[in-house]
Amino acid sequence: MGEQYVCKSFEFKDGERRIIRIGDDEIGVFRHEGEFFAYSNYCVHQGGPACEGLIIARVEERLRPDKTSMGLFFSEKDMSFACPWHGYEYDMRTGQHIADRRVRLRKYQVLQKGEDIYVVV
Amino acid sequence: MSSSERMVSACEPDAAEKVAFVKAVFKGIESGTEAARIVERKKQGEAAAPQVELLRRIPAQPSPESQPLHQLSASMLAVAAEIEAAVSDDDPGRIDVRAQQALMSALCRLYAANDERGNHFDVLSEQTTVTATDAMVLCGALLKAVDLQVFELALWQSWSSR
Ligand code: FES
Repeated sequence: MGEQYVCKSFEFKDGERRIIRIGDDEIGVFRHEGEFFAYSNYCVHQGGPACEGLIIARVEERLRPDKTSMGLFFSEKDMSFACPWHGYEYDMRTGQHIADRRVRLRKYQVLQKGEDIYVVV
Repeated sequence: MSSSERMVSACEPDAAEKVAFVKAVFKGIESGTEAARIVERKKQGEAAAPQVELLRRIPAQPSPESQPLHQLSASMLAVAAEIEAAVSDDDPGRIDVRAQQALMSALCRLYAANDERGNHFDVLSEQTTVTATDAMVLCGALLKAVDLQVFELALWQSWSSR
C-alpha cells in the first residue's frame, strides 16, 4: 500500500495519540518526546484496543551494589502504554511486551517529510 | 429557442466560469498541495490505495508538572530552591534561625495534618538530595525537641500499627 498521509506534524502535539484506520488495519500513532511511533491497535492478548490505554513510566527495581533492593521506582526514561482491557504493557519505542520481549505489537514505520507525517503500511 | 436548446443553455456554465476553468487548466496543480500529492500517488500507480480514516484523537495525558500550582505551593518551591542553594554554597548560616524554626514547625504540622486525613505520600521526592545522615540528624533533633526517646517512638509505632 505504501506511504499513507496522516496529518501535518504541527497538528500532532507531543504526548497526543491518533487512532487511524487504513484499509483493514487499525493503527495507533503516538508522538512521544518529539518522535513518532505507530503500532497495530489490536492487542496480542485478546484483541483489545492496545494503543488507547494509559501511558505510564516503566516500573523498575533499583539495586544497591550488594544487590539488595532499594525498592520500586518509576523509570525516568522508559515509557510504556497499557492495553485498557487487561493491562498488557508495551514498550513505547519497540511495541514489545515489557515482561516478554518475544510478544510484540505489529510496528509500522512512520515517515516525516517536511511537515507531513506518513505511516507506511 | 426550442426546448432542447433551452435545456443545454441551462446546464452550460457561464462565460466567467469557463474562463476560470481554462485558467486553472493552464496554471496546473500547485506543488505542495494535497492535490499535487494525489496526482503524484496516481502517477506512481497508487490510485487505489485506501484512505486514512481518523477514528479517534487522544489528547496528551496531563502530567503533575503541567498542573498549575497554587500560589503558596509555587512560593514554597522557590524558597526550597533558595535553601538548597544556601546549603550547596556551604553557607547555611545565611538563613536566620527563627526562619528555619518557623519553616520546620510549619512543615511538621503540615505533614502530620495530611497524614491524619489519610493523605499519605512519600515525605521526600525521588529527586531528593537528603542523605541517611541528614535524616537521622533531623529525626533525633525533632524527638529531642518534643522530649521523646527513641523507644517511645517505637512503642507508639507498634501500638498504632504505623
Ligand atoms: S486484550 Fe489487551 S490486555 Fe487483554
